[in-house]
Amino acid sequence: MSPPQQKGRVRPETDRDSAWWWEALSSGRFEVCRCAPHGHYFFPPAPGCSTCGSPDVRPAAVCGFGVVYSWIVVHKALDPAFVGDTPYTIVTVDLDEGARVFGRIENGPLEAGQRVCATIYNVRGITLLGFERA
Amino acid sequence: MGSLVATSSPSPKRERPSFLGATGITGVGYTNMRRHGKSSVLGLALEACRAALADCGLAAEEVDGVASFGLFGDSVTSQAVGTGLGLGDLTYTLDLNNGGSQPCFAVMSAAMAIAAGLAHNVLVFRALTGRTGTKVGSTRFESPTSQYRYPIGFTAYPYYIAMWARRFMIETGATENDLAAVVISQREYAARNERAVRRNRITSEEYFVREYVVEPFRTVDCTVEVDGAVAVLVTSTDRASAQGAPIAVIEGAAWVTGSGSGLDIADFHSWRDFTRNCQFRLAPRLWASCGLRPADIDIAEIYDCFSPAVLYGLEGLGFVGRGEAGAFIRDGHTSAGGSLPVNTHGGLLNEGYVHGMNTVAEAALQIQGRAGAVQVADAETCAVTSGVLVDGSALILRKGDR
Repeated sequence: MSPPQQKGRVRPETDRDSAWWWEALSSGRFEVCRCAPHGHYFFPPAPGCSTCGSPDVRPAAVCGFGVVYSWIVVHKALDPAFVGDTPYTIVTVDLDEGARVFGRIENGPLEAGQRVCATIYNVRGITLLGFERA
Repeated sequence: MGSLVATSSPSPKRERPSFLGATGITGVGYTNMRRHGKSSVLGLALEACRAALADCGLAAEEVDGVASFGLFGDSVTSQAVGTGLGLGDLTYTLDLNNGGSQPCFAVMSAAMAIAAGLAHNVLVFRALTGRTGTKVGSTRFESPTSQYRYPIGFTAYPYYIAMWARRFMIETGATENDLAAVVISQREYAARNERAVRRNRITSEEYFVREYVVEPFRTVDCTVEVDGAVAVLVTSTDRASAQGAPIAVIEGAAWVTGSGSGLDIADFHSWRDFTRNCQFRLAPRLWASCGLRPADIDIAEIYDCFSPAVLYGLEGLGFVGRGEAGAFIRDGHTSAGGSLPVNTHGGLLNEGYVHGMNTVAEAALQIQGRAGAVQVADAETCAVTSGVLVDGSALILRKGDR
C-alpha cells in the first residue's frame, strides 16, 4: 500500500522531550508515554503525566490500533510545502491504550469509530506516523 | 446589589471579585480594517489608542497603564505603545501572548489592576498586520507540539478548528446548513457596518457554491485577515461618572485554561471532548460572577474566527441547548430584532480579524448605545467571549449610570 503522504515535506523540530519518540519512530517503533504509578498512556511526550502529573514517565509500545475520533479533508494548502498534496485527509485517532494522536490517512469515506491501524512511512528522508483503515 | 456572592461556584464559596461592577470600558478606538496597509504594527496600535482616548475625552497624561495580547510575537509591546503615545510613567503594563483567547482576559486584567489601586486608566489594545505581515491563520509557528502537526500538513488554525467542528457535527447533529446560517445572518449585520471588510449579503445558494478550504469550511466560514488595530480604555465607574463618559460596566468575568489544555496554544492532544470548548468550562463561573442567567442577556458578541465558533459559544454559555444553535440562528433569534442579537458588527468573519478585540469593542459600543446602524434598541446587558479552543475568556457588560 502506498504511503498516505507523497510530496509534502516539513522536517519536525524535535526537542529534548521528544527526541526519543522520533528516534523510536525512525527505528520502526510506535511508542507513546506511560506513567509508571497508574499506567496512564499519553501523547505527546512530556516530563509529566497529563492525567495525574506523575514525573515517572516512560516510553511504552502500543498496539497501533485505534478508532477515528474526527477527521479533516484539506482542499487548500495554506503552507506551500503541501500544495502538491491536496486534497489530503488527516485523522484524529484514539489509540486502544487511550492516547490521542493525529496522522495522515488515504482519502476516502470515513466515519467516527472507524477502526484504523498505525503505519510508519517515509517522505524523502523523514519518518512519520500515519494510519490505514483496519 | 446585595447578594452577589457566587451561589453555584465550586466550594469553598468565593467572594465576588472587587473589580466587578466597579470598572468598565469607556473609550473605543479603531483603525480602518485594511487589506493593503502600509502601516507598521506600532503605527496601527498608536492610531487605535489615540482614537480610544479621543473617543472618551481622556488626556494622554491620564493614562497610567497599557495592556495587550499578541501571538508568537506578532504584536508590539505595551512599553512601545507607552513611548509612542508619549505617556508618563506607567504603573501597570501587561503583554499577553495567547492570541484570541485573551481580549476579554486583557480587559479583565486591566480592570483588576484598577480595582487593586495599581492604575487608574488602562489602554487595552490589539494591533496586527494580519494581511500584509504575519498571518496568524496560515503561517507556521514553531511551538512545542508543532513538530507533530506540521510534518503531516496539519499546519493552520482553519484545519484545527475544522477537526473540532467535524466531531461537533457528528455528536450534535449540526450540519453545513448550520454553518451557513452563521455566515448568512452575520453578513446581514456586516452589510450595515461601515467598518466591515466583507459587506455583501450572501444567500444559501451562494454559500454552498463556495469552495472548501478544509471540509467542512468554505472560504466564507473563515475570518478575513486584515491589517488593523482596536483599543479600549478601561477605568473605574467612579472616574467615568466624574468625567461624564458613557461606560460599559464589567459585571461578570471569567478566564479558563482548561484542564488538559495541552503544551501550547495549538495543542489539543489532551483535550478529550472536541464538542465542548473553553466557553463550556468557564460558563458556570461567568454566570456566578454576576448573578445573571443567559435569559437576562440582551446581546451576545461571540468570538468567531470560524463559523462554528458561534454554535459552540451559544451552546457553551447556555443560551441554547446542545445541538440547538443552528435552528436558533435560522429562526432569526440572533438577527436584528431577534431575542438575542449575535455578532452585531458582522463578527470577525466579516468586520476583519483583529483577534477578538473588535468583538469586545462592539460589545462596549452596543451597551453604551453608540453602535450606529446596528444598534440594538434598549440593550442593557451583553455577553462577550474570546477564544474557541481550550483557553478562553468572557465578560458580561452592563449599561452604566450616567
